[in-house]
Amino acid sequence: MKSKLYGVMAEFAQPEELLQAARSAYAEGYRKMDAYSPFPIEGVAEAIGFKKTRVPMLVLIGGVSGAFLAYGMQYYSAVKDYALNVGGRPLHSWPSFVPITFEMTILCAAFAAVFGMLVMNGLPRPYHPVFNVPEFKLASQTRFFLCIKVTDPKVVEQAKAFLNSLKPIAVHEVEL
Amino acid sequence: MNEDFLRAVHCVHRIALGAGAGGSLACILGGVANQPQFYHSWLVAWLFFTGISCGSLVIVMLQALTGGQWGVAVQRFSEAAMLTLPLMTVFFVPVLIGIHDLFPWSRADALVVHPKWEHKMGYLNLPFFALRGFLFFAIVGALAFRIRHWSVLQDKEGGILPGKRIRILSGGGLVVYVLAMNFISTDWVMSLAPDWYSTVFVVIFLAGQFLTALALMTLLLVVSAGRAPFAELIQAKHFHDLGNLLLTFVIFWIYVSFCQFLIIWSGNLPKEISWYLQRSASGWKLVALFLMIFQFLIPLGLLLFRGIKRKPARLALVSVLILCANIVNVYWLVAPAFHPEGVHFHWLDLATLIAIGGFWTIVFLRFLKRQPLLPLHPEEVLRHA
Repeated sequence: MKSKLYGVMAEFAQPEELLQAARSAYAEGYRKMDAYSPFPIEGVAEAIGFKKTRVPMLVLIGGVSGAFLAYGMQYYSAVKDYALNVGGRPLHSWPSFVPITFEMTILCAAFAAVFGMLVMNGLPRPYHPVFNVPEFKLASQTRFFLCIKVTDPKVVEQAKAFLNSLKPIAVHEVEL
Repeated sequence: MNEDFLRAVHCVHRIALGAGAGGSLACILGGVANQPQFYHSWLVAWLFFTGISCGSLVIVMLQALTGGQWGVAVQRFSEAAMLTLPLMTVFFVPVLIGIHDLFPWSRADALVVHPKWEHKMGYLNLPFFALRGFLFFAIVGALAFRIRHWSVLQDKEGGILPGKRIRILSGGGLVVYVLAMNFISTDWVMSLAPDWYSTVFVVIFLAGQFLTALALMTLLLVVSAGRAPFAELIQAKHFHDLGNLLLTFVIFWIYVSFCQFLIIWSGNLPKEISWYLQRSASGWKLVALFLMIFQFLIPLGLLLFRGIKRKPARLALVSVLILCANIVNVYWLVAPAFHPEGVHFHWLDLATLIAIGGFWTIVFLRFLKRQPLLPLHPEEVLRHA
């Protein structure tokens, strides 16, 4: 028995072909798909229906919580927990709290950006079905791939026929 | 320049002419009635518009060195703005005439009141002060007109030579400019309080000037974006770039401003902290708070959003906000020296701004009309890149 499918994948030689294919696939009604290329191609992300990322919101939350955390920690230690008279200044001397607040804002925002990006991309990921296609190793060299995620056998045939109509170099089945 | 644009320019020209004439009349009347106040207001307004001219020169030189489509899009505007420098040289004369009302070190009894200033007098004296000012204007004026000359030559003849020359001159020019600004910011603003000094002040001054010029250029591009030749070339990404630059310099401005404040506040030495005490006494504290909110917090919050940076109309609002806040910024740097007792708003503050702004705009439009609104060769760059 054939193993289950992750989807079908078309292989192209030119970036423009991939862009065109992604657009037609989206127009055809396919939504669950991904494009792979050796270098970034402008417009492909929009073509496969990628609109918005939640990373900016995450960065904002990271930055704001970093700021509150840093200021709160300094306020608590300098005013509440261990009140110490430094040079006759008020205990709550906000100017001296600003640099650390600023640094913590940047630090937490940067962490939120990096780790948020990783988590939202589903990384780290030791296994991905697309690598079951031997030709896929060319995705980091000379070839451009469009993978449509379909599992229903009837739809698989449809998707294959559709991808073939785009005149790719080849259409591969991607096993799970 | 096409018909549609010319009509708009004529309209603005008429308004500027009226503003210049009306403002001057008000200035003369106000000057006769209250001479010191006239010079105080004049210094603020003149510093503000000189800042735009100088900031535009920096934009042009920076653009020549770093490239970027945003700079090509506003190149003719910033060129025309930097060519107003000779006008600002002329407007430097009233500062020299009114120097006794402005700078305490220039008064006849300065040494009697402040004997400790004796060793400063070798630097702070009228002839040397005037020489430094005119020398500065000669340097930046020569830079501006030389760059413009080559920029026009590039349009006429093409080739890579003029562009290369502009780049070489801009590289050296920026270094000379920042060094010269060191002296100029000391003279024109810092020496209002001869006892006070701060080595980072020149950076704050430069950041404010660049921010003002950039905000004005953004505003001009938004206003022109719908008209030929901009209509089909200017895209959301150009505004996005300008918005990002504005954001960067809003942050940079507060960063260096706070640097100076934190160091002086930590040291808490009488000579240094007095500058801030004066600027946070009574009403001035509200002005400082206004700056923190309207030149930092609000622009920062707004410019974080893509939706604001990519929508010209919204970006224009932020630019207007930054421009207005920068008038207050210059006012807050200068005016507390004259009115330590508290905010003292006079109608001459507005009249000098309108007068100088009117004349500045007339010269600006004059140079703007002379050349195509977009450089001919980079036009291709804008379309294809």
